Amino acid sequence: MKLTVLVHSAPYSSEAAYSAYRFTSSALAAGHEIYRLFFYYDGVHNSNASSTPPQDEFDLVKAWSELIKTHKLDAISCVSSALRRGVLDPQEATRYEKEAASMGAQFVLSGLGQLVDANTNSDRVMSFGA
Amino acid sequence: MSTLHTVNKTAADDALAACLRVATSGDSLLLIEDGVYQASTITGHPQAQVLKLFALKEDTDARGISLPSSVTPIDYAQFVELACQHSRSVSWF
Repeated sequence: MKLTVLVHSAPYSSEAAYSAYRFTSSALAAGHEIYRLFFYYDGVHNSNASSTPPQDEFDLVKAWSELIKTHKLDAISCVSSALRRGVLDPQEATRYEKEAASMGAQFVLSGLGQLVDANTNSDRVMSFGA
Repeated sequence: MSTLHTVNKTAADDALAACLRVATSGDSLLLIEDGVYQASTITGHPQAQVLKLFALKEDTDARGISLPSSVTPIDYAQFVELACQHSRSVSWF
């Protein structure tokens, strides 16, 4: 089946982002297609590549990034959620004259149209929130 | 058209109560994260009698929760299967 996973929660502030990661990994392991990962509201913090947890802890941001890269997933961070929270790609950082671009290279900034599209074209949408 | 409901909050939040107000016969209810703390009390709720009840085993194990026989423990692979078996899902959080 084509599944979309919608993540509303930041890593570390609740368990939901980790649950979303576990669900996504299990769906891929079962042979399902992940149509899209959509990170919304505080969920955009999952795409903040500057996140640096202690080395002996599970690094959820890195794990998402590796999962996306390995399976060539379409991973969208909501642009208006992300800019408010300081998660910018190089293009937006330049446009707004910010010192740093913190969004991971595996993620794409885009709008709610991508969520509407995912709702229309996925067989199932599973949301994870805090 | 059946629905998979997930609840990830304790009884301090009204997520489960809100879910039970709208869940109908044939739906499944999966307790995840802190929602698993409600596994022992949910079985006494009249509306829960018409639902298939599940709890994510990884989350019950992490919290030392033992489940009543009416709540089935499932792993993430079965969670994915449940999501596919139901035509839609609602996440209460």
